[in-house]
Amino acid sequence: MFQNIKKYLIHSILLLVIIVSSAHSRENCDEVLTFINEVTNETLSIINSPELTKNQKKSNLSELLIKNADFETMGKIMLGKYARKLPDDMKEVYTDLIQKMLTKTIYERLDNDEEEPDVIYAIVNDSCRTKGSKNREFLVDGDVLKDDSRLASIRWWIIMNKDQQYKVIDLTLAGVSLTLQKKDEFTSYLSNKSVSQLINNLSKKFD
Amino acid sequence: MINILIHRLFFAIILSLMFFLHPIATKADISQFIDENYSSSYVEPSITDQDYTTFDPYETTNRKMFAFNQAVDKAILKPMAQAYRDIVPEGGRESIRNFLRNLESPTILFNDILQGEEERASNTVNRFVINSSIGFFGFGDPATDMGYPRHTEDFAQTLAIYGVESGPYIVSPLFGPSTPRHIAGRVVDFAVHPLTWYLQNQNDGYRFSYGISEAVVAREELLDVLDDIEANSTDYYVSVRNMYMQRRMDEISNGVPSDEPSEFSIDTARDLNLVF
Repeated sequence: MFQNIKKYLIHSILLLVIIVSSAHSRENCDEVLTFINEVTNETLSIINSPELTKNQKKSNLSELLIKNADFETMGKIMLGKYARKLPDDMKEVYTDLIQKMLTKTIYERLDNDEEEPDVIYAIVNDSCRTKGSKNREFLVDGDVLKDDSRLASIRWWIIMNKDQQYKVIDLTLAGVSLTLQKKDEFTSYLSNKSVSQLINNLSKKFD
Repeated sequence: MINILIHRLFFAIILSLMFFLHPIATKADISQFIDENYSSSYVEPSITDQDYTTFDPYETTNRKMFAFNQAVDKAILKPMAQAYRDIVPEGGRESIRNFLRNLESPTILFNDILQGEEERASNTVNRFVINSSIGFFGFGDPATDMGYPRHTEDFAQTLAIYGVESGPYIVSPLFGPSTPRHIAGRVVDFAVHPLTWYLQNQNDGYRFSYGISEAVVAREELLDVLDDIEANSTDYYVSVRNMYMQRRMDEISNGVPSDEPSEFSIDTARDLNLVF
């Protein structure tokens, strides 16, 4: 009898832990959705703005990304196992180049309709779930709408950093993940070249 | 007529098989061609250093074929696409795109049905009827505004749904990024396309015009995208390969992101001491 009570107690505690952890994840997910909706709205107000010039749009988008994306982590993911080979004195330069590269790439992915200035894009982020072993990574899924018609799927990969701030570390548009695409590129490049050569290559393109 | 079609299909299948099964012979020919005609900056990667997940065992051959396709594109297709963009205004190009897409409807319907996608099949039928009538033979796309958005399907996607593996990544001559599954799918899609049957009785001019129109229209749509990718990538070949593989996965899942946990997460990487 005592053994049964002990078993029920253990099961109840486990269940409680699962419920509390699930509620905590849900709460975090609500925060993440609020965060990403704010980022999305700001991004769209820049992309859809009829007043801003192309350079102003790029500059504003860059500021927005610096505030809300974790370029250091993105850069490390892209380097993969080669991240350890990145010399300390080059880390800052590398992160800066990653930021420039991603800003340019994201801008060009989102703004490819020079001939259709009246097109209005919208993004609806409607689902969130945790990822990773510590429940501090999140995947938010949504749809990109073009004039109210579904254009493509969008997925954000978000991480909560040490300062408890949410930061975007990947954007998957129409099934194409930006970070994983660059990771594939860099891995191939670094299989026969050095990290310094990669940085030189990036400098030539984005500096 | 059926005999001619069967002969052509047989020829296409044999060509595809020759390409898959004898990469070394193909490699030698293309290698010589590339060496003689183009300067390639490609450096052979050492096999032990490769850790990326894309299954690309014929990378050396693929890169040379990619360079060949690039040369053909830069010399012929891209200038044609650019000229087409310069001459035909956006509205006209959109109408032509709509018309060609509408002609793909029977193929899409065929694959919707094979995949058991009733709702999507019904959507395809509605789109075809509306766009072919109200949309003036498909030049307009009122169906999208009426709640029947466009989607794509092909036989390679159907094979994927049936569990057929994609096989290795292959850059096929002129057609570009592909896999054996995708090439097999293209052959079947070609066979079930109504225009394939209709054009059998027409002269060569019609057949070539249709083929060239499709290629130019598709290339024009990708002008900016491919230019951006080429300008922003450290390795254009890998960028295109990666985008192709990711896009195909997305198309197979009908644009619905996978529910399976990703193979990569920061915490997992940290736990395994892989990255940070």
